[in-house]
Amino acid sequence: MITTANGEIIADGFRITASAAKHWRIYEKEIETYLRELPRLLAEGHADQYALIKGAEILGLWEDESDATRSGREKFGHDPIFVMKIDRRDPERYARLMPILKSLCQP
Amino acid sequence: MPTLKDDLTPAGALVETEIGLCSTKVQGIRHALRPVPSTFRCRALLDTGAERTCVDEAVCQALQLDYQGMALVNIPSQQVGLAFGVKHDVDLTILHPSGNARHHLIVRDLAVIELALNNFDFQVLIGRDVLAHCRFLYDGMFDRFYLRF
Repeated sequence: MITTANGEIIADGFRITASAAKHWRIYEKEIETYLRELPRLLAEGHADQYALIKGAEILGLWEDESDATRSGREKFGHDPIFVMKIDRRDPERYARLMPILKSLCQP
Repeated sequence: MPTLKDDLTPAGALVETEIGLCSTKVQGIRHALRPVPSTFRCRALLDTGAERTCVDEAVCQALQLDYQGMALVNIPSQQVGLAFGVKHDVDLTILHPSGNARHHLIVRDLAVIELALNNFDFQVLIGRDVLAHCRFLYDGMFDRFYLRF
């Protein structure tokens, strides 16, 4: 694992930006929810749709990302929201990424 | 359909853009009678390799953009395969050189990835999410490019 001068982390083919390394934990619950629900969403044919997730709950699915964002802003204003594209590649990719992210939290 | 044509540069096909708060946030600020932050004028590279549009972290921080989530995106031009970054929603305008506002391409409520681009001649990578709405011709034989939208 390499940390660059501008705070980015490079590991196992991933480039984790400085802001992502610093802030990903605010979305830890939402990422867990996405990964837990991902097999079901893919099996039900929701690939390439956009999920609005809050905590352990998927609040809705949209075809268009800006519609999902607008819905999130209506509900939560300018607080951080979590809109995620349902991506067939993610089970394998996040299986590699999550251990790297979790290792950032260890002293 | 407006067409933007220009010479290729050593960095590639570059266009002028403006990055600003998304329109829904601007409406909220106006409603609260607070001053709306200015847009940032940025040079942008048309990058067919970038899965999503990316904006330099200094621009994102200066605009104090809202967080819209996180994403894992493929940006081969940035040398390390997959980038994991914070997403923000912005309004992006590709400025037509004529200056005629009716010929600008305005993309509202666009989710962009915050990325360090400080080592380059541009502050924005325009990815396939925006190029999906355009016709982009890279004419290497005559060192020109055309963008129609």
